[in-house]
Amino acid sequence: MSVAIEGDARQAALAAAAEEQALVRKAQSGDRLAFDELVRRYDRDVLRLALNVVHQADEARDVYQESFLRVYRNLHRFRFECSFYTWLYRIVTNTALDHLRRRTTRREDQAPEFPDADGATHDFFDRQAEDRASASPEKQLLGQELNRHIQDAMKSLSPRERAVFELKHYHGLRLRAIGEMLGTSEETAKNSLFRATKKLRAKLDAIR
Amino acid sequence: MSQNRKFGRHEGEARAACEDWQPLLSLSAAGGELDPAEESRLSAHLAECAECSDDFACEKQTLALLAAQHGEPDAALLAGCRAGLQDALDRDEDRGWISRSLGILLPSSWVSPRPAWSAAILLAIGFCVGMLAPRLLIHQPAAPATAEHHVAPRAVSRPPVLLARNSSSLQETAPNQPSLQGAGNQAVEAASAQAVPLPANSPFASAPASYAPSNPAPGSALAAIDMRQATVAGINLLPSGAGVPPEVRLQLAAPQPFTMQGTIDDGNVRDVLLYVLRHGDLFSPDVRLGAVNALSPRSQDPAVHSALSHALRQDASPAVRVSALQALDSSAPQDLVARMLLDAMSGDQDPGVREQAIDTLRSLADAGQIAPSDHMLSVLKDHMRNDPDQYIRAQSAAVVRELVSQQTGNQ
Repeated sequence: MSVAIEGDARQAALAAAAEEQALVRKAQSGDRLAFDELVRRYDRDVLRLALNVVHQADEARDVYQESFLRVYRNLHRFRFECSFYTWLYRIVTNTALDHLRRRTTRREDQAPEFPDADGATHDFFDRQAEDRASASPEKQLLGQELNRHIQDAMKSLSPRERAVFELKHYHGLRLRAIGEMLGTSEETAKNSLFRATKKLRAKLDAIR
Repeated sequence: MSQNRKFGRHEGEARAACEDWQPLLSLSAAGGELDPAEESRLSAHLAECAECSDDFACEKQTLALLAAQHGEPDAALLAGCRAGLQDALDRDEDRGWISRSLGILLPSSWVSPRPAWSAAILLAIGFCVGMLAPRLLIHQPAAPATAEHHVAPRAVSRPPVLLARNSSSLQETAPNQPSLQGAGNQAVEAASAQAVPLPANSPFASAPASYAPSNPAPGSALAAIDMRQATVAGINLLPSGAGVPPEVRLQLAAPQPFTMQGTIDDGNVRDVLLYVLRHGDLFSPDVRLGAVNALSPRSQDPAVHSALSHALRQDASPAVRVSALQALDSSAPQDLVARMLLDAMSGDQDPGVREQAIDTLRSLADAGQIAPSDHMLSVLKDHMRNDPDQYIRAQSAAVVRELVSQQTGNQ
């Protein structure tokens, strides 16, 4: 029974991969609609990755745009040697790291701000807390407090560690693929993940 | 406790040994990174080492905590990103086309290796342009009238000076007299005096009997004028006091030019203005715009409302449609306004009109003056995702957010 289910899942995965490959080929031939469809499939993840690496909404928006423009301009060079999303994430990660390298001040680690209706600004993490907390003010307060700690903890990571952590835990990529994306070895990606987890635990164990 | 399970190891040695397990432990908690042999080795160690087992549990808890707090990107930010990307892609495509075209005309391999030739060619081109351009400009013939409108002599060449023909609303325009005396700077030029040739189906082209003013003023000479050759050449609005509709001056082009003046409550004036809007293709955009502006104070009048709605849907000029939209905004029931605004957003090709429509929708939504419906939300979401105009996409997203929050609040 479970073998049959696994077989079905495998078939579905193969079909999805073939469909995506066809879509990429259409986009390569200049079909803008096909490219737009690819954007829609991945852009939420791309933006989330950018936000969590650069930690600023404006800069994440730039990373998003720059990444997809790079993809658009270089799509004809994509040779299907890896999956499209691996190739895309490689571009996004490198673009985000380039942005971080270009930063000259230390303001980069401030969380992205979003103005709300009454003009007050809340950072990205506060906003997540608001969205997730129930109606209870106590829970909301706790959620905000927790997010502040997480934000502080994430600040302690280097951009590369942050990227590896993000790609591994929130995008479900294998470390081998992450290493390829970042132009490094699987072993280096493993070390980055290990260091990232260690730093986060050192900051967060106290509040659990 | 751990010492008991370390079977006699010293504590320091045990800690050092446990640290060696940390990378494997971390990779196992991350999931999917260890091969089966490594997994089983780690499992065996965790079974005998309470410290590492606790550590493993802590690691998983930390990751679960981080995962639970990891949110999706803000929808408005995502919408903004998508809109910006579409614009950037459009620009990129345009630039690509231009550079390709220029590349054909001026391939770099053609020019750059031969700087002397390139300079000589540029000098020759400059010389030719410098010699020929002034001559061409001096001998340029006068621009012909456009085929579409056959623009009649402008008022400046035939200044319409008004001679009162009767006491109510009609004045005859005599040639060779100063124009619009008395109006001076107070006149609000709603239209240039540009005559449109009289079409055969104009009410003015038919016998006077076919033109029946709805409320002819006593002694009005309108019906007495030979209007078969008349058309509206210009509309001027003259400011009046607060709460009083402005005076409208209609310049009617005919073999004997004449002017009709009165407020929009004057039946003759009103009928002509309504006719202009209903047969907009017969008149120039300036005249139509003047008619909309003149009628807008009476937009609650059913006939005026109908004519303005017609202009909003049918007029070829974006400026006229925007003015009609503004005029209707203050008069119609809100659901009707919302429907017209949605129609304008969906059907109008001009981004200016669509922007005006979404601005009005947004102000209505912010003021809580429109009731959100499924259809409205569906149309707005479609614009939020697919409208080619970035501003409209962003504003649509804002309106959707507002309406959804109102819906949630009501529930």
